[in-house]
Amino acid sequence: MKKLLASVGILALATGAILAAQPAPEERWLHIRVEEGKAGKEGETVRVNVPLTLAEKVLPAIQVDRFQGGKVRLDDGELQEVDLKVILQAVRDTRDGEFVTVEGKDNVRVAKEKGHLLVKVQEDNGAGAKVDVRVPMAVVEALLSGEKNELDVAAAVRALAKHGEELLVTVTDDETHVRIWIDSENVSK
Amino acid sequence: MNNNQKGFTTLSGLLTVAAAGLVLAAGLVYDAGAMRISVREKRPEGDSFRIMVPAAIVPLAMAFVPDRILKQEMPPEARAALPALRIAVEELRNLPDGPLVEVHGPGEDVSIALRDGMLAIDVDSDDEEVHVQVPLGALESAASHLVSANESS
Repeated sequence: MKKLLASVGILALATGAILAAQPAPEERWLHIRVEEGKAGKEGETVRVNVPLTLAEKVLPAIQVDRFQGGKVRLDDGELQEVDLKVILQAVRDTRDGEFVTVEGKDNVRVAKEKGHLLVKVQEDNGAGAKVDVRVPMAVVEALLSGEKNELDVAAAVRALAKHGEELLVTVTDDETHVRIWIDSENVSK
Repeated sequence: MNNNQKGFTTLSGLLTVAAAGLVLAAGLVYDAGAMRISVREKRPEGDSFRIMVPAAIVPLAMAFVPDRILKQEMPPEARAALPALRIAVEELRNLPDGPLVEVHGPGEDVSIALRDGMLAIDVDSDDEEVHVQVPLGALESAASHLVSANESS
């Protein structure tokens, strides 16, 4: 009996030690940086650092207008004639490649590449604003996981938290540079 | 034991309890931290003041405001934001020190950060300099009180 108790004790201690040795899951931070002002002139810079765990918990508690319980309800008319889920299904089941290419004064490119959905926009033949969006497909899927006429932002944030460092959005024009990304640092660099 | 001795023992006992109560209260006040507000006007001969208030006063002061009044005076937008605010404040406790929001512009710098268990708000403009530090415990207590006042019938 003593041997049995000792074995159980050792097993419990070993389990505790193993659990204690497990690294805590790394916190992911969403960073937003907006820099305004023409080159050479002092402009405004805004930096926001939000941990995704905070966003995950706070978003479902927000009940404002069309944003309820972490979901944005799209109005009648907004994308009502477009079945985003069907499009997403088609994109997910397709190999990497370019789906939409618009060439003209403004260039638009929508593609799937290494598990990411890419959207690139260049205005005025490259002289205007440039927008780059690079979102993991799992995040897009989570965003569209709700009802047909809603975007599940909370689910998208949860999905985002499972990814590593990602540069999500950059917008650049004459006066503004916007950058949205996630990493494990609590300070934007 | 004569009556004098008995009275002395009772008095000393009461004093000991009172002293222990004071030490405990002082400990609780110290533990809750202090809110610091400092404002300095930059114009010549401008005013400046600094106040430091024990954060333990926050729940005490809020207890004197009837829930009915809090509920009446609260704007609907604030009411809708309360549950999210309470969760956000609770979550702030789990975060490391660091900047949450920084705005640097011509003529004004604003920073909201977590510093030593406090929410620190610093504003430095051409006209004035404002620094506010609020212990997270005080914020949490205020948010909880507002939520319960809002939920009261």
